[in-house]
Amino acid sequence: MTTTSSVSATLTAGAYQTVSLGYGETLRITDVGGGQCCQVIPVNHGDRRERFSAPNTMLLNKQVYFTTGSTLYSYFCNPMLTIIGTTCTHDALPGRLPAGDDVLARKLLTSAFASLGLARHQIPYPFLAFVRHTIAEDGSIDVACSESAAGDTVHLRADLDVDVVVASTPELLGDSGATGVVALDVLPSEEGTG
Amino acid sequence: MTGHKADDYTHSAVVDTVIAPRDFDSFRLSAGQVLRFVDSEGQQCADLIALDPDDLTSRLSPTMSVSRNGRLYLGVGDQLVDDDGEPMLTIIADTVEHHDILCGSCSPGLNRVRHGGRGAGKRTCHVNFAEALRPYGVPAEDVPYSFNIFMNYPVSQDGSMEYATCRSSAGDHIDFRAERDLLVVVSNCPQELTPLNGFTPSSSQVIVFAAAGGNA
Ligand SMILES: [Zn+2]
Repeated sequence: MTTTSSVSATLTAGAYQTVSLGYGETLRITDVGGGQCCQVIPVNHGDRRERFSAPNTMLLNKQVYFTTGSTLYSYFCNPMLTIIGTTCTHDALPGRLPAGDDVLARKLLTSAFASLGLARHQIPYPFLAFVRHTIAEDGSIDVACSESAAGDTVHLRADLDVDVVVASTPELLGDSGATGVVALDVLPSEEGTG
Repeated sequence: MTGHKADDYTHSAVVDTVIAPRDFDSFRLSAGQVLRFVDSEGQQCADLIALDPDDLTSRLSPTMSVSRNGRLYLGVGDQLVDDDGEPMLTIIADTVEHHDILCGSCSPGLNRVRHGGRGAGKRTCHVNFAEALRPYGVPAEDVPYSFNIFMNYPVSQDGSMEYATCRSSAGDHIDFRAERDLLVVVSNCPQELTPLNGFTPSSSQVIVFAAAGGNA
């Protein structure tokens, strides 16, 4: 993998992109419109059996909210992506949604995963960039809230060669009015770390 | 002990079996049958997965179950649903009312990262499930996530998570009614490196009761 590759794309609501990262490269996701929600799912580039695991990520970070320093782990508990910088928090929690909206978001991922040769039941529950679900003391959980304003970013560094499915799904936020516009950029690995 | 009991269906056991410490068992449930998990000795949690026997890609979804119920901690009256939100199991009795649905199953990977060499070769719920599903052609990486009976893994307001010993005592149980024909696997959690099972996995009991109306 070269350390000079650079990919840029803009997603709108209901669109997805699969971004390939070499070890050490960084995916920067920028909230363009403010108040966004992105589903992010890394898959091991060399072994599609190894996919993101929200449960393992929560367990191994001992946290349901993720920020700089948090690592996204796979089903086999290997590091896949590490948040090396971010201006807000993120989670991987399921939220309360009207039946139908969650199915809609899944449909989008189904197309993304089909292009990776993976079936619907093999789609992991995603990391949700810019999203925070509030958990009450009794465990009740609400519709997701976006944590981000226009210009907020998250930098995800690849801990292995990885394909990252990113889908813009503001419908997970309910009637938030979010535009769903986010920018994706691949940044080369830092000198000496690639 | 708090919680609800329902006794109308408990006269007609069609299966009554002991699961040894660290072991697992599989059950074919017909719609309407009730599966009871009993913590026989106390402080024992169990991981449960459910699949549609006619379509093994349709499985219990912890995340969709949280979405549909709007709660992390499920209890009597709540339904466990599949990826499409279709009901699979309904909790109809529960003497503990404290379970986990976020954490998935203990696995060789978790043991490796958390306990290093001490975790090597230890039996885990994931290994149990992979073994149970192998005859059905389900590969280890496609083993679905579990509903974790009596598991004590609460989330604090600040998002932090820390496990603690199960709140169940000897004789505590939870009953699930099958909403359709199901393959259910129960793993009597082998975890002995964390306080979940009081560092001592113990035996449990599973009873399957006939559907109301007498159909076994
Ligand atoms: Zn376990």
